[in-house]
Amino acid sequence: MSNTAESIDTDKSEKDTTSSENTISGNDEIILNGDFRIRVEEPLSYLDKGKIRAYRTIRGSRHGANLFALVCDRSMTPRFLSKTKYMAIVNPNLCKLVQSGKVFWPSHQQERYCFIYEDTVGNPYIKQDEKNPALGWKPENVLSNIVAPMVTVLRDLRNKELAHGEIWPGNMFDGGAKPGQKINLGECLALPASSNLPSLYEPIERALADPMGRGPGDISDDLYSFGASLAVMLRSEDPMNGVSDSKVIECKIEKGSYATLLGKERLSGAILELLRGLLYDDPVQRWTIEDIEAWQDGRRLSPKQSPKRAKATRPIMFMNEKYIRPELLAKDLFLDPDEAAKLIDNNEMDQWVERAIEDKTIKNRLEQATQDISGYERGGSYNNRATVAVAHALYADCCVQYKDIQFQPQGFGKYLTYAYVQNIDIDPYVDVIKYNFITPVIRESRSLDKGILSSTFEHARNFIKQKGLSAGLERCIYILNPEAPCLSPILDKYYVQTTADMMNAFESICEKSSKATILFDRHVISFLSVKDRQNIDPYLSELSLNDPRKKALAQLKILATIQKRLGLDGYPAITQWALNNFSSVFERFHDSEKSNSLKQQAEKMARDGDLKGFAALFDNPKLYEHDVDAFFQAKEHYQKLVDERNLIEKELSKGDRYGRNTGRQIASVISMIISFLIMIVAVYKAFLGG
Amino acid sequence: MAKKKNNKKSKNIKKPKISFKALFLFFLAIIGCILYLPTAILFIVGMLPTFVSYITDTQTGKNKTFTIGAINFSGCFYYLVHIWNTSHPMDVAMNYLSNPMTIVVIYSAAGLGYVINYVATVIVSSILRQKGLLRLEKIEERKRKLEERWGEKVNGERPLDGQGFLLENPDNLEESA
Repeated sequence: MSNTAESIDTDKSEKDTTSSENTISGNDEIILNGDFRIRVEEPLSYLDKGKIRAYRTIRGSRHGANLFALVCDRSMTPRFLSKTKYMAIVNPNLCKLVQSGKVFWPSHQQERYCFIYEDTVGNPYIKQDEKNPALGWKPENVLSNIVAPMVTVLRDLRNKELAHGEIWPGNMFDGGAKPGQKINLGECLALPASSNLPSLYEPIERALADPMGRGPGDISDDLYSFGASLAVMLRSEDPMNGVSDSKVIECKIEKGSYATLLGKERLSGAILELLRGLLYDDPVQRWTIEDIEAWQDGRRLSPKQSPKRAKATRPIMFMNEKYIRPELLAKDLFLDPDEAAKLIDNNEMDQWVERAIEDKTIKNRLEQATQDISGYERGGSYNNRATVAVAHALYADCCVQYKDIQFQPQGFGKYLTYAYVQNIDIDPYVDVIKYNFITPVIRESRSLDKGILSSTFEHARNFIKQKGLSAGLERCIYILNPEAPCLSPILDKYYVQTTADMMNAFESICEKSSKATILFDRHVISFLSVKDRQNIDPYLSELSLNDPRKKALAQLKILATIQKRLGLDGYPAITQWALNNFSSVFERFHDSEKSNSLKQQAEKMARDGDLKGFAALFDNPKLYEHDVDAFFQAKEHYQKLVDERNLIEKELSKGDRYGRNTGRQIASVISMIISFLIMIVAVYKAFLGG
Repeated sequence: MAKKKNNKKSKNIKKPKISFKALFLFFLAIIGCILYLPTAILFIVGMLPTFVSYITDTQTGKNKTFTIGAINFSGCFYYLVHIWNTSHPMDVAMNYLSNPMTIVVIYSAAGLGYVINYVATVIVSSILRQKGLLRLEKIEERKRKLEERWGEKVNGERPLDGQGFLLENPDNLEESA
């Protein structure tokens, strides 16, 4: 059993995937790139990350360096686009990535993406499922052993513009030393950012979102997570012991993150200042790396006054509960969209904001939201959409909460991919793309790259309404999640991240089944179009036709264009597949000699795997014109032959009379010649012969 | 009334018109015969088979007459040369006519013409027939090859579209036409 692999360098991956093979050797070892042996029978459960399993891995000989492999799950898109940035960070306190690539995972009978790291991390500070973490470490130890090295890691991450997304004690390791004496920050690539991060360590607006829909975040979010992690390390008990995540978030909104995480814990000195700076709920106020470095240098920063959250003078009733903070109401509005819509429609919400909150910003946002809602189509999911708009007016940074889904707009792509692969009800996701109620959310949010995100959603919305082969939800997945592998059922056994991967997978499929196999479905077409539209878009119209000849030609042209543009080697099995599908094209020729000649040339190309050459044979618009012209000439010639045959048969039907006229004419000529000769002889004899 | 009808009928019957040219040639021939009487006598007697053939040959072009006439004339020519080469042509001509051998020679020449006409016609007709049959075979072979190369539709027996493909529903074409 063999499969393709990919080197770490994305740029080189296309060549590596075609050259090297990953195999299963004896003793239940899976080999990546010929050098890394993943020991399937030696799982490292303490390094697992939810669904992602860790296995002991050896490089080269059995006595090589200790490594561990994290084998990714298809539904949880790994961050392979961040791989290069991550590898560029050389920091002894960050888990070192050694290799990555695809391996065939026998238990699932499909390819999995895996990352291989140096196993020098040690044990995690806390277990993954630790409910009420409180380590109670001494502040001076934390300052020297944790804060100082972590600041260097955070600085490196910031310099590479890479948000880690998994900074918490469960992903911090002791490096084999005593707890709190050393820190190794774990990896962050095997899962979507923040998807394995407990909500305790997330800023409020991100904690509200589903873990899969939080999005990549930024360095500010990492700094918050770092601050929350420090709080957990320093506190001797969890003040929110036994409280649900939702209540913790409410408490953060009500009291602020610092008070929620540390409660009545008495901290003194410098670390208090650091914690307060890192745990600001307002990302604008939150400390930056520069602030931490200044603080490390001994400069004491004047504590910033966190803007007070708006509080109503009188509560508003919603779901039989009283709400006095707009953020809390925004957080819960989606739980009963019908009642929320009533509050909106009978102007109770407007009056509450105007009279009880007296916050101009919220008031203006609500007015804008009300205006937006008036443009919404009534019926269907109107109440849910209106709820989203109003929730964002009340709390600008709140995640989108629509029906059963909660997400940050940046995280929607991976959230959608997860739902699609897991067969979760996809309708709310489609609504999000189809109706433009997310546009005001993006507009109102503070920390998003609004322009790019708006245009991405707009782009997706254009395609979800279309019914073409390269449109629909399939295309939206690849637009919104550039790291998503191709989710086509055809490629179920393969992990296809790039166009070159797809060609390799096709080659493998065609090798296994030379019979008519469908290689192009909506997923494949959408994936190719999103990755590089020049490879496929010029042929989409032909591809959507029912004409098998045009379809076969379009498929060949697409494959040939990919081979040409990516400079890929030969694909004999794909070329043979294309040839097998070409019967309709060969039948299209009137001239069987021409057809046979082309077929022979194509067979030669198929042996060499030369898709470009194969396509070039048919890349002549006059090929068919000449064939048609020659056919009509042949038809005319045939008709002349028929006419001639009829004439001859008519003549022959005369029996003995046939050819007599000609015979008489010839006889005349003969007799004339004889008579002429006789006359010459006569004259000669009479006058000269005597 | 009856007279008028007869007049009309007589008007409708076309009388064979003799052209001036024919008349002129006829008179010229009469004059020639008078002037060259020995030659004319021998020619008229000697060429009798040709005249008979001319009358009996119903084929257009009169090739048979031409074949017989040419050989027949060559038979006469031998004696005519002798007449032209003597100072007493009338005597020589009468001498030849009175000699049966002369008539035998001249008429045998005409017979040879008949033979040539018969043999050549039979041989040429046979050759042409064989050639026609061979051509038919070649035509069939060529048609077969055309059908092999271009398909049966090249025979034009079934309606085709503008690209040369069989119409799936030719009735529609007929209706639209």
